[in-house]
Amino acid sequence: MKEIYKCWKLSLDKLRFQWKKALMMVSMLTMSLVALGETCFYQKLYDYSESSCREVLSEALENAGLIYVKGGGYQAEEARRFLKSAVASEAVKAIGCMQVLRVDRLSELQRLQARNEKGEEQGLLRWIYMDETFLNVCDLKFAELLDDPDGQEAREIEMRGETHFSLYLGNHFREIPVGTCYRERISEEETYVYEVKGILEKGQCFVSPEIVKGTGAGSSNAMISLDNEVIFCGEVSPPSAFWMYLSPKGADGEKTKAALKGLAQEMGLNMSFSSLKDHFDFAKRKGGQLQAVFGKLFVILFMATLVNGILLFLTFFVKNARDYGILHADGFSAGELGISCLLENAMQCILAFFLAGSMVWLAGMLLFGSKPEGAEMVNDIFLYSLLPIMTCVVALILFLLSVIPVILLNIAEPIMLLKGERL
Amino acid sequence: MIRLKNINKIYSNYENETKALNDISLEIGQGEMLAITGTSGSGKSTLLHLLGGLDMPTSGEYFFDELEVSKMNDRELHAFRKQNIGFVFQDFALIGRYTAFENMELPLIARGVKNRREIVMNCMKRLGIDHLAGKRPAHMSGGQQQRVAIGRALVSNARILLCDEPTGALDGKTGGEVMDLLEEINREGKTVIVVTHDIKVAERCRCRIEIEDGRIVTDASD
Repeated sequence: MKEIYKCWKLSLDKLRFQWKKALMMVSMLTMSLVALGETCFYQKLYDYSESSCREVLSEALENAGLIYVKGGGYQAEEARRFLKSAVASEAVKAIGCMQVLRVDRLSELQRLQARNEKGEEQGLLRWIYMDETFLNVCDLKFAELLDDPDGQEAREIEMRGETHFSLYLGNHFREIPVGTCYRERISEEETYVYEVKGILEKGQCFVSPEIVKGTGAGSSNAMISLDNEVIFCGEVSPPSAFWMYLSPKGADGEKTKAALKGLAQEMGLNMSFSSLKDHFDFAKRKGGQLQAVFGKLFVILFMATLVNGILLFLTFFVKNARDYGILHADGFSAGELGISCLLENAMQCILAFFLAGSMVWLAGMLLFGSKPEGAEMVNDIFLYSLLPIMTCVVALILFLLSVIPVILLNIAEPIMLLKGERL
Repeated sequence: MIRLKNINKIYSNYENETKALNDISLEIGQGEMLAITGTSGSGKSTLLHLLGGLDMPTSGEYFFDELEVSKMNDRELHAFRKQNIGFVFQDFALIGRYTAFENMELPLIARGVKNRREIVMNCMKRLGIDHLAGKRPAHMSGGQQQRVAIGRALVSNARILLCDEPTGALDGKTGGEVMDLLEEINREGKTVIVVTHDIKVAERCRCRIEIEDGRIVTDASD
């Protein structure tokens, strides 16, 4: 400990006296590490979100398609006809339009189980769960919020029967506890009953059986749940312009798209089609371009930092060789002087590491961490991928910056240094 | 205390060899004050560096008490210097970016001493330079710098002070004051070896040797 302390004291003194050069080195190291961090982050981002999405989607990514209905949403009647036709033609397994309902934080939703006379589970409802990280990464926002001053939002939920609404939420809804009912008297003849029930577990997949069967299409909903927001596929009131469909398992996504396009043309509907995979690939290409830029930046900054650091030391060594000789005469060994150089570089590297790590994490959070799932993704990528890589690179930089000084100080004879002679 | 036997030091490069020390044999006792004189290039500084373990002889034996210094490796030499030797140089050899206090503190840091502040301040007071503690060498006179350099050599409690032209960069009066200080240190029991080309400085030392072309030509003592 004593040995480390005296070396640390020497290195601290050198940093104190040459703080401007130290600041420059820390800046260059930080920029290199930020460029490295961003390169790795974008490299991991798409793998993470894609695998996360595939994990929770029971269907292949390629089979999930998006429809934008030009000119806005449709009245319930038109939507019903299209949805019915689409399901009846067996072109799709599920289709519906999406809404956004703001609710309190949803932790999970439980599959609603209906039981037959024998008590066996029927799996009445299946819900599609989409990973928020995926949608965020693809920059997909179905944010046509409903302006519903009359409190119609409740009707955006599944309707069962004429007045019965089932809310498949994990938390209370407007102070209605899970497992209880709420009655809203609309008029003397009409009462709406809201039943808050069920918890959907992450990864479980639900599709409205009515849609699957092709009956009452639009009367029940396939729902995509996101943290803090619930999006429903299916006919809801009022409808939105964004629709989503799932191809049957194993089906060709392009054929499904073609079939739906044909159907839309027959019915005179103006729709544009895309697929989740297309959006993902596009986002990945854009991200890849950013990654390439950061990658090149990292290489340039890394080399510049190394060259600068080594040159700074060599300049200092040549100019102040005598000081090293005096330190020898004072009782410091070559090894101790070498360790002090190593510690000096280590302090700069550690400071740069913390600064760069904070900046990369912050950037990730600002871009993708607005939702808890996105924040979780950023933390996972940062802790399990970025930190190990950045630590290894910092260790490499430290080694490369320190190897020449340590060698020089060990081979330079004290008497030559004292006389100010060069090697 | 110190015994040199048939010491030779040869510097060689691609073109030729230079014999800096030629068959030097010498004994120095504990508490002596020895002056090594000679003309420029006679080998006196080489002998001093050798005595201080900063350089190694090409051949011959160097004993310090029972230790054979001439056969030590780098690590042992470093330990030997740390325990026994203090250096005073002609150009003071202070590190310019450190204050007087910090320059004197360095040998104590190298030795892992804890109560450094107390030791350094006591030494500074004794040398009459405690008012210079926060000053850098650039703001001190030559005499003050040399006192700081002597203080740096003293704080480590070295047994021997090796002084290479300690008055060389000073005027007569200041040089005399520095020699007074070295004599006082010698009277306290430390061995002081002074390399000088100044006869007046040499005459203040009880023992004197003269070196010429790497050989001892005169060996005198009072």
